[in-house]
Amino acid sequence: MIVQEKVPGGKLLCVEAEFSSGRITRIRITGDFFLHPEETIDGIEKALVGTKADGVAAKVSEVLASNGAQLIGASPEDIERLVKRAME
Amino acid sequence: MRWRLLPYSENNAFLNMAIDEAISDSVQMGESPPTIRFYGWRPAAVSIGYFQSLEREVDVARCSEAGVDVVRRRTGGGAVFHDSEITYSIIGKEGLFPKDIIASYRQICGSVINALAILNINSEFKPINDIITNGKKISGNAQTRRGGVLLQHGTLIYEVDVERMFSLLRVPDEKIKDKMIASVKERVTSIRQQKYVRREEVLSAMLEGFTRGKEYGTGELSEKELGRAQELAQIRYKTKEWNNAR
Repeated sequence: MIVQEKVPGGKLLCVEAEFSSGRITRIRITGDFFLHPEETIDGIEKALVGTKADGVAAKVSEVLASNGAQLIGASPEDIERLVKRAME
Repeated sequence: MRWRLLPYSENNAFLNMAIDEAISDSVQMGESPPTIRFYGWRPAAVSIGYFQSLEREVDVARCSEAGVDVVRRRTGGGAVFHDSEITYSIIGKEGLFPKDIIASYRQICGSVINALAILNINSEFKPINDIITNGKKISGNAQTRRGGVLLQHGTLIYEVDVERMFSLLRVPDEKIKDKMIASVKERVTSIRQQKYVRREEVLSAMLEGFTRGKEYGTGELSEKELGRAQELAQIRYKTKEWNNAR
């Protein structure tokens, strides 16, 4: 399921995710947001596999912190909100 | 700090993106000074942001028929149709710019705003990464930072052909394409829509806007940068693995 949203005051965020037993089995995050360094997105998507929807924001924040990365135009909470919508 | 100015040149999309990366690498290694670069795109091209889906954003077949290059940028942000516009890059060690990302966009976009002011066009910075004039976007900008180096590139729209742009980009729903075209026309403007100015005048205003208050010398790419750029164009920016990555 693909869901997208123009984040208020931010950029376009699009989440494509599949689930099994309430956990993410595959996820792709696209959009016109910014993330430095850019490759951190691969680590975020990888880390989210196996995560429950309500643990997404915490997991994204953890990967950002461990890579010293900055997400601009969207937040970990925005990603979690879209994952939850993708689950509906 | 003495800046290097690389005067306006036109290249294909792959080499344009590769040159920005090659300069960033040289700046990181301390082999090149901070650099301001002006360029155009020949043939015309569509660039997409690092995190965008190529197939959802671009009609690749139409681009190919039209002879328009398609390239994924190293920076985030949205899809841009590069046809009649002037693109700049500014590349330097992070310490030359504000640490705060929006503050650094604001500072660098200030150079574009200076250039527009020289042309008697009033504009302002609109966070996160746009410059607007009379409420409409006239410049889009994208930044990345890695290895202690900041790269920001952006476009100053000289003329815009929204219909042509939408013939190359995909829209989520074909039925509302006309509406989207109308909405973009309401939200985007160009220098030529603001006033009659020749491209050469815009270029010289950009040069003045970007170099104001800076010590600089006109230069060229080093042999190493050019070689690395040609290599990066081949091994990264022209490849399906890179462009179709998302």
